[in-house]
Amino acid sequence: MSAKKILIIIWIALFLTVPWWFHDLSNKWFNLPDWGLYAMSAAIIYSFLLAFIIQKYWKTEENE
Amino acid sequence: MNSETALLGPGGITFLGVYILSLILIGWLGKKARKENSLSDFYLAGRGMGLLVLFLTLYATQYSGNTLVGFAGRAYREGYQALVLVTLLSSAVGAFIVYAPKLYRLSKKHKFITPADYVHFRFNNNKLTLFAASLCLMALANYILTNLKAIGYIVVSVTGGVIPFAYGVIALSLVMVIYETMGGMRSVAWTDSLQGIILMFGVITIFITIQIEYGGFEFIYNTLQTNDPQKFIPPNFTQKLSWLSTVCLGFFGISIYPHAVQRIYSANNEKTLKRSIQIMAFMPIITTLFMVVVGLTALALFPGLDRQGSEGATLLVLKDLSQRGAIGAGMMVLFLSATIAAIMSTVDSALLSMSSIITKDFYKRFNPAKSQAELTRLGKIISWIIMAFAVYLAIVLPQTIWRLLEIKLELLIQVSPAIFLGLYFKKIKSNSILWGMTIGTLFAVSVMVANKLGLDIPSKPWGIHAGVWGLIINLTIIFILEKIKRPPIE
Repeated sequence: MSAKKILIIIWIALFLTVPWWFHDLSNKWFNLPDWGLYAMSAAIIYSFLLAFIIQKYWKTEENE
Repeated sequence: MNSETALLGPGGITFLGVYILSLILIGWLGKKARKENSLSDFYLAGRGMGLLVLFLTLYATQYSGNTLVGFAGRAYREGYQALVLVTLLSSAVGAFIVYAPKLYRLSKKHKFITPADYVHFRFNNNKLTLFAASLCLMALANYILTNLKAIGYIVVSVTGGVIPFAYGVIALSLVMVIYETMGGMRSVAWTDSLQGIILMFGVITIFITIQIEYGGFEFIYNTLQTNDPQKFIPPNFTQKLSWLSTVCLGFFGISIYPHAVQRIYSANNEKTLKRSIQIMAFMPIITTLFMVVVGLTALALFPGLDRQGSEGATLLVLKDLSQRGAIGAGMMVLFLSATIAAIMSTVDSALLSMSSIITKDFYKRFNPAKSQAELTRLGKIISWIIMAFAVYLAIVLPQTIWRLLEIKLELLIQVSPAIFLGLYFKKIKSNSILWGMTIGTLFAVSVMVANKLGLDIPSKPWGIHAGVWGLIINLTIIFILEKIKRPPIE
């Protein structure tokens, strides 16, 4: 995958880490406000996504 | 203050003192391991860093004292909205994935030492190179000054004022500059490794202790529901834009800190770099997130603190844990060591980076005949001069001037198009980048300075940081100039 495509995927993921969809007073989910849980989960998922992209698409010169 | 208010007893202070002095020994070992008297060896450890050292130095450098003290304070003030800080640090790792592979290969081939070396290689424009180097210098100078100030306050807290602020700043700066000039990047990276381990261990231990002693998120939620229910209100649209803007600062700003770029250059091979960055992807979770939880716990335990009081949120939690008998003196020593370690590892890296920029990007550019040994010697002298000047400013500068200096990422972010666009858009011209960088910087600085001087201009118009507005203008100008193919300004 090209660096430009990776950049787009990373930025879509980053955009989704913002709790855009929560407007009203929150409900409790797993001892967190729903939007707080969303933001925390999104940050964790983003970290795993980065690790996956590095593993799968970063081809080192030694491997190429 | 007196010794009765000290956070540590004589035993703890002695342990901390021995730990700090041991850094000089590590610096000496770094000097002994020197392979040649060259800029590459001094500033990039001979481009030979292995996985463990590279990861730990990246980690210790990226997470400063601000992570341990400032982030918890921000979580105290902002509540759950401080979760943006986790993404702020993660976003920088995302940026590494985009630019590090290509930049690393180029740096290996063309022997780059500083970020501006790449800018000069790619655009071959002296004005652009010097401007980019100047922005890097200003951001680093700010970094050093704010961290030196923080270290002075910590020394005062640790010793209960027995060691005054100025003496604390001078003593620790002296230790840093000694080990830095002994072995350069090798010494800095090795001390960073020790500091990184202490930092990680300290943060994980305090997080686990909080979960056991107070009950973690359940305790925070139940207490805030009674004491501070407005912390549950989701961010409004402007705050959401601010959230995204903060992420932009991390992606385009934190990722291109010169000391971070130089660590990319320092990897012994690409596989080492790849693995280090892969591990770094998880560090915001076990460092930033954990410190946000510490700040939220402090909010639940000690409501009603003002801004200054909230900056001591972490220490308040530690004191409370200590009084409950949940942690002993050893844990307090560990965490304070971690805080001092975090600050020192950031300052030494920024100092080394500043020295390299002045030596390589400014002095060598106008004195190309100088030998590597002469330049290395000059670099060491420059480190001492920078540190002396920074210590002086940290001690004497009035608070009003400090507020003007709090511009860091807003400047650095303007350099990012030169790196990101330069790497992936072959036809882009130096003049477009130079014009974009100039006008973007002028805009960001004008807004920030006007705001700091008290004029009726927000530092974040519509929730977006002045630096990000500057970057948008910067990119727009580049786009327009590339479209109309404006003649060169030189």
